[in-house]
Amino acid sequence: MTTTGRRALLAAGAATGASAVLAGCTSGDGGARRASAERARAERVARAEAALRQRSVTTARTLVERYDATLAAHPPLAARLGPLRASAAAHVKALGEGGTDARPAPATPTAPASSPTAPAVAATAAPAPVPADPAAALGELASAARRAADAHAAALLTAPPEYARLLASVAAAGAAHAFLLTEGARP
Amino acid sequence: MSALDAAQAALAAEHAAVYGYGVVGGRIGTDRKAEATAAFEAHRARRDALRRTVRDLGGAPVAAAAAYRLPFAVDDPAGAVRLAADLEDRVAGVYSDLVRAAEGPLRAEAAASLREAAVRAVRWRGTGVTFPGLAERV
Repeated sequence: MTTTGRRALLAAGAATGASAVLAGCTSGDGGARRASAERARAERVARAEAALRQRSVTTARTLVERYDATLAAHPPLAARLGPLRASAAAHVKALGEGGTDARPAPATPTAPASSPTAPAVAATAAPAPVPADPAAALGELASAARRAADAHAAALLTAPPEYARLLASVAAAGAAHAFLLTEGARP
Repeated sequence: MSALDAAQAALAAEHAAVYGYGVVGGRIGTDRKAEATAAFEAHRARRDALRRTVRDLGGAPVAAAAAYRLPFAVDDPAGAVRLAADLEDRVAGVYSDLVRAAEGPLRAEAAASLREAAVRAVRWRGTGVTFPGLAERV
């Protein structure tokens, strides 16, 4: 660092110190500043929660789209997939209740990519073609359901309590559906 | 509900599940006996883990009841399967509450337990529910 740079820094520090002292002299202003900091923090939390909801809806909707692609490629699977697809659609709706609109979300999260769910969302965002073999298609759909469940399970760790409970249920349902899609072949 | 209360409720449900799977094991028949044994052991492990959790949260772990009333009479393998699925539903319900009440590793643990219960429930029943553990939505 150059001498000029260091001097500039010192000057800036001095200025900050002075303004802090001045602020301390005015009674009430410190409280206002704290309130504004608190408000900024609350806004950050609200934004993070909205982003989490949006990501969760996107994860759930991506899975519904996977059901639809599989159904389009394999119409004979309709009877088997219908109830599971309906559940997956109910998950999208429930996760979007109260705060997140149900329109398609952007492919990339609006929040900084600090979320552990971001890679999972990205991984499911570009769908692979549905396998021509029905059993392989079911296996692929089961993997997609499990991936979505894992993403929900990661998201719930930072979610508000009630939403975390919902995410845990949706994740559990996804894991159960993955079982039904593969091993649980009962008429 | 505090995390401790929710953990105690989960522990009480696991006590009941361990008891219930004892009944299941006696009626299930040979073809699904191994599955019942595995579930029994899984619930026993969860029960023991929850005892530790309750102690860690500063509580005294609730004890098992001397006897439990079954939700319906179980006198054949089909009834045993129904009871097993029912036990998993009940356990799922308390774990969803624990997810809501807890944070960090305990919340993650509760979510994993809910997931396991939901998967076992569909194994028994052959069909799933849309919102495992959420009585108000099912």
